Amino acid sequence: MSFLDDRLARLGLASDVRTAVARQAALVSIEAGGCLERRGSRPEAVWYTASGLVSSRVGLAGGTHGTLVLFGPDTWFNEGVAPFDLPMVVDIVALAPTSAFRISAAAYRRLLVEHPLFMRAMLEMAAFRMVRQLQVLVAFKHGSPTFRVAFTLAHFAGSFDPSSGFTARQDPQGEIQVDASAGLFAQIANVSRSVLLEVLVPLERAGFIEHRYGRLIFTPQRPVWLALMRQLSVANPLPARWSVGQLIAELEALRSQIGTAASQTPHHGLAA
Amino acid sequence: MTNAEWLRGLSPTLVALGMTPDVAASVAGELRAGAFAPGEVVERRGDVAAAWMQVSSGLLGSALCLAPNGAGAPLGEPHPLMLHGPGTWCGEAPLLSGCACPLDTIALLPTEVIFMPAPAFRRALDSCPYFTRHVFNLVGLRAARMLEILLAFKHASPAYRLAYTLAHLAEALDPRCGFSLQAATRERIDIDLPQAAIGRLCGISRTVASSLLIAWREAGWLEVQYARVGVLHAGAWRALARNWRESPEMATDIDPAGVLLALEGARNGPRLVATT
Repeated sequence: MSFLDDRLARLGLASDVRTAVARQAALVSIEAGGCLERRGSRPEAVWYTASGLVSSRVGLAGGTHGTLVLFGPDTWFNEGVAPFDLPMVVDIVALAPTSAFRISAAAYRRLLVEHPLFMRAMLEMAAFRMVRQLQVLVAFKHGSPTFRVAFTLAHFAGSFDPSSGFTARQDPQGEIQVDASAGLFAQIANVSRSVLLEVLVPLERAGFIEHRYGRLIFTPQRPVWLALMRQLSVANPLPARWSVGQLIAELEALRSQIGTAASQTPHHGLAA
Repeated sequence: MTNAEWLRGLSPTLVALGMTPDVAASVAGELRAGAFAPGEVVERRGDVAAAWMQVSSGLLGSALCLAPNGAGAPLGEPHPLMLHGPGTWCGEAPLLSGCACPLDTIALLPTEVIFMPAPAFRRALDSCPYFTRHVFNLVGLRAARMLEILLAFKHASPAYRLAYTLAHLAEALDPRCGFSLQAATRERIDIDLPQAAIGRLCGISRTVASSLLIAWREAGWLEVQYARVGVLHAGAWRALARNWRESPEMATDIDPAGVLLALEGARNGPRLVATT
C-alpha cells in the first residue's frame, strides 16, 4: 500500500475510490519560500503534505505579513475552497523544503462529482476545519494574550489528526514536536515575543511543555493539552481573560483529573 | 393550513437544494418549526447539534458569552460573530464534523426557524449527491468568509473591520445572495441591530462604531436610525468586499476616509452581473 493510499484508506474510502484519487495526485517538491497558492487568485489545487512545513499567511500594509496557521506533514488543506471559483483569502507558502501531493482543482472537482464517498469525506473534513476556524476566531476576537497562547498550544498538541490543519510531527515515541521559532509562534498567536515568553517560561517551569531550539515539545503532557482543548471548545461562558497563573492552575487541575482517571481505569494487559 | 401541512409544502424548496423528490417529501414530513423571542437560545455552545436550521424570518446570531472577568460585556450578553438572515440555512458544521456546537445560536429579533432533524439531514446527504454538493458549496463559501473575518480580527483597523462587516452583511442578509448562493440584487439592506451590537459583531467599542457610522452616513453611504443601520448602495459595499478579497495585500491600516475612497472606487468599478 502506498503512502497516499494508506492516508486515503484512513478516510474510509474504498479501494476503487483510492485508486481514482491517487491517479490524479502528483507528488511535488517545493523549496522553502515557494508559494503554493496565492491570495486573490483562484485555488490551484487541493494538497496533502507528505513532509515539510507550510503556512497560510497574508501580506499586510508596509510589506510585512501575518501568519495564520501551519500545515505540517500528514495534513490536507484547501479541500473546502478548491472546488469553487472564489479567490484565495491567504497565500500558502512553504516554510521549509516540502513534499506534497497535489490534485489540481479541475481534477478535484471531477473526483468530487464522480465519487460521492470522496465528496462526503472531504465535506466532513471541511466542516471539521470550519469548526476549528470558528474556535480560532473566538480566541482572536475575545481572548487575552495568555488565552491566545494557551489556545494555540492546545491546538498544536491536538494535531495528531491529519484533518486538523495544524502542523505537528509525531516521532516513534509518540512525541509531538512543533517546529516553530518563537517569532513565528508569536505571529500565529498574535502576541509579541516578550508576551509569548512570559507565558512559555512558566509553562516550561511547570513541566507542561519543553521549548528548545525553535521547537515546542509537548511530551509527556499532551493529554493535558488535549483535555484543555476539549474544555475550551465547549466552555460556556468562555474564560477568555485568563492570566498565566489561572492557566497553570487549570492545567494542574486537568493533570490531576487525568491522573486520577488513569489510576482508576483497569488495565487490560495482553494475556500471556 | 396547519403548521404541519405548511412544512410538508416545503418539499419543492428541498428539491431546489438538490434532494430527489421522494427524499424531499420524506424529509419535509420531518421538518419542525419554532418561534423564538429576542435573546432566546436556539442551540447552545457545547451541545450536540440536533438539526440543520433555516431562518424563516427574523435574525439569528452565532454568538459567545464571556466569563464574568471578561473585559467586554457582562455575562449573559451575547457577542455575535456571524448573523444569519431570512432564507439562510445554518448549523451544518457541527452536524457534519461531529464536534460540539462551537457557539450559541441566539435569536436577535423575533425569529422563526425551520429545523431539519439531524437524522433526516444525514439521510439526505447519504442518498442525494446533488444535496451533498449544495452543502459542500455552503461549507466552502462559509469557510472562506470566516477566514476573511478571522484575518480582519487579527490584523485590521477598526475602520476595516466595520466596513468589512457591513459589506459582509450586505451579502449575507440579501435573501438572494450570500449563503443562498444566488446573485445579489438589493441596493439597500437594513440591519436591525443597535450600534452596540454592531460594534460587538466586529470587535470594536460602541463609541468607535458610532463615530464611524456617523462619518459614513454623512457621506451618504448609510442611514443610521435607532436600532437600525441601513446599508445604502449595497452593490458598492459588496464590490468593496470583493475588491478587498482579491487584493494581494490586506489594507489593514485603512482609516475611515480611506474606506470612503475605496467605496467610491468600488461604485465606479466593474459591477457583478446577476446570473440566476
